[in-house]
Amino acid sequence: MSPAAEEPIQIASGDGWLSACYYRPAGPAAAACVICDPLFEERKSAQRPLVELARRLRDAGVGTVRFDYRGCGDSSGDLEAATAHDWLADIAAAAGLARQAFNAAPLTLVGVRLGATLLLKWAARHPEAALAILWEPVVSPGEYLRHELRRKLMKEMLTFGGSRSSRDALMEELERGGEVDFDGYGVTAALYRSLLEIELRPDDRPRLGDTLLIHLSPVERVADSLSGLGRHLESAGNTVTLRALRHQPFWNQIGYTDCTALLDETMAWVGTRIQVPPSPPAT
Amino acid sequence: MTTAATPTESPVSFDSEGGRVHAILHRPAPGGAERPGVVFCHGWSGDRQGPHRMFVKTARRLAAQGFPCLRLDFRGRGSSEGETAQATIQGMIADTRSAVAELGRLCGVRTFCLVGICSGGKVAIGAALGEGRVGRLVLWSAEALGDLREDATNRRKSLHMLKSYLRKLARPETWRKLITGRVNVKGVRKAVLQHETRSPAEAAQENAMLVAFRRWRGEILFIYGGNDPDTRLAGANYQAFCRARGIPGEFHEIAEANHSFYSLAWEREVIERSVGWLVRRAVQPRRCPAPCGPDFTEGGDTLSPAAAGVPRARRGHGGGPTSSGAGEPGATRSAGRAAGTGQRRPPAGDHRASAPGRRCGTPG
Repeated sequence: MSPAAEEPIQIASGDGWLSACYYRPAGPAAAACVICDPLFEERKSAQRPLVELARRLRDAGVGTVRFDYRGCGDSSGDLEAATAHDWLADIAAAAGLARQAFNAAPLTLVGVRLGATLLLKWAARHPEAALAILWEPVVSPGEYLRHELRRKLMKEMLTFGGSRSSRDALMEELERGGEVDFDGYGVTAALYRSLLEIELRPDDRPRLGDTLLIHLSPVERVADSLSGLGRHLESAGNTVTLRALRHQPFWNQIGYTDCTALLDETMAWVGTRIQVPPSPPAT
Repeated sequence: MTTAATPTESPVSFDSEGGRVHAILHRPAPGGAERPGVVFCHGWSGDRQGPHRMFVKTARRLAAQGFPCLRLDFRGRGSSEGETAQATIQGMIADTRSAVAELGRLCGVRTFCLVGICSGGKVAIGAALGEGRVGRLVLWSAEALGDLREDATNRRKSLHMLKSYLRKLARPETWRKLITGRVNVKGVRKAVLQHETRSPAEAAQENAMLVAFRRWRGEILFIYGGNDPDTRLAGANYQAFCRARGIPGEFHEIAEANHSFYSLAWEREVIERSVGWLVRRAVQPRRCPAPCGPDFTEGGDTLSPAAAGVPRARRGHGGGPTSSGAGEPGATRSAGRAAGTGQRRPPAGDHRASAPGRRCGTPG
C-alpha cells in the first residue's frame, strides 16, 4: 500500500484545528465519507475498529476522513473549553474537506455512540448526506450522562467501599455551573448543557438518505429506543435498515475487541449501495 | 493555526520494520535551550493520546518547556498500520527505537527520555537498553518485567475483579440485567480469569531484558496508583531491583489512584510530578549513559532470575512502592526515597543522591 493511501492532516475549524486522516481509494472515489467518533474514553476503545472501517471503506472506493473534535484526541484545545456546538462545526469542517478532497462525491456519514448523536443533529441542519451508518447511537445524551455518572459512583464504591458523592449532587453541580470529573475528563456546565441540546427533537428532520442503524447487544433484538429512532428517521424521509447484532460493546472494552462481524455486516450493506467508478486508463 | 512563538503540533509518519507508524510531533518554539527529546510509549491496548489524553497534556506541557516530543501509535494500534492481533512487545520496542531516531532526525536532539504507561513501561525499558542516547525513563503504572512479575500478581487481579463483581451482585440493576440476559458473561469471565499470558519465548526475552537492565545507569521515575492491584508487587519488585543494582530510581505512589489515574486530580499529580522531574534534570543535565548490555531483542542472553540478580520484594512487608508519607485520606504519598540509596530525597530542585561509582555519566 502506498503511504499516500493514508495521509494524516490538520483541518482548520473555528479557533483551532482538528487532527484528521485521509483514507484515499486507489481510483476515483465513489463517495466521500466522514467518520464521527464517540467521546470520552469510548473514543479510545472505538478507535481501532473505526480505523479498520475507514480502511475497508477506502478499499471499497469510498474516500474517507477520520477526525478528532476540538478538545478531544490529538486535536487542539482542552475538553474544558469545548461544547457540542463546536463539535457540530467540526463535523461541517470535516465534511467540507471530504467533499473537496474526493471531488464532491456523494456524502456518507458514519457515527458511533455520541458521535452518531452529533451527526444526526448536524444532518438535521445540513441535508447533504446520501448514506449514513449509525452504530449504537446515543438517543438521549441526558440519559447517557446520568448513566456515566452512575458508573462513576459505582467505581468509587468499588474502589473506596462507598461513594463520595451522589448522582443528584453531581447533576446539581453541573446545573449550578460547576465542573464534574468524568474519569479524568472535565465536563463543564457549558459542555453538559450543549450535550443536552443536541438531543434529536421531534421537529428535527435529519436528512441522511439511505441509513444503516445497528444495535449491538448480547441479545439479538433491537432496543426500543433505537426502534423509535428508526421510525423518526423514516418519518423524516430516510430509508432505514435496522439491524441487531450479537456483539461485544467494543466502545467500553479495555482490551482489543474483534469487530469483524460488525465490519462485515456494515461493508455488505455498503457494497449494495455504492458502485465503484472505473479507474481511469493508465497513461 | 499556531504562531511562531508557541510550540507546534504536526502529524508525522515513519517506517518501522517495514510498517508505517503514525505519530504526532510537538516541536517547541525555536530559540530555547536544548532539551532532551521525549518519546511516549502507550500501553498494550492504548494509543498515542494515553488514557484521558494524559500523553497529549504532558507533551504540550513539555513542549512549552522546550522539550521536543513524539507520541506514536505502535504498529497495529491506534491509527498506525499493521494487524492488531500481530502486535508484540518486541515490535513495540522496535517502534520506539524508530521513533527515537525520527525525533532525533526531525529536531536535532541528541539525548532522549521515554515516558511509558503500563506495558509501555516495559517497552520503554526495552528500548532504552539498546539505545545509549536514552538517559531517563518516566514510568507510570509500569508492568513488571519478566520474572519480576509473579503468579501472585494474577491471583491478586482475579481477586480484585471478583470482589468488584460480588459487590455488583448487591444491586437490583445487576439482577435485572442477569434475568434479561443483558450481562456480558464472556466479558466477566475474561476479566476474572484471563490474564496476560506470555509464551516461553516472550518470557525468555523479558528475562534477557532484566539481565541487561542490571547495567542500566540512567535515571528512572516510577509512579504508581495506590489502588492499582498490580502496584504492590510490580512497584515493590522494581524498587527492590533498583536498590540492589544501584539504579537511580525514584518511586512515587499516588494514594487511592487506580491503574490509569482516572481522575483529574490524579492526572494532574502525575503530570506535575513527571514534568517537574524532567525539567529539573534538564536544567542540570547529566551525561547520557553508555549503552548498557546487549541488545536483548536479538535474543540469546537469558539467565535464570536468580542468575539475573532479580531480587524479590517480600510480601506483607508494607508492600507497594513505599508507605512513607502516608497521610490523610485524599493526600498523596510520596516515595520520599531514592531506591539506589535508601536516602531521604533532597528538596525539589536539588540533585538527588545516587549510588556513587555506579553511574557511567556525571551529574552536570
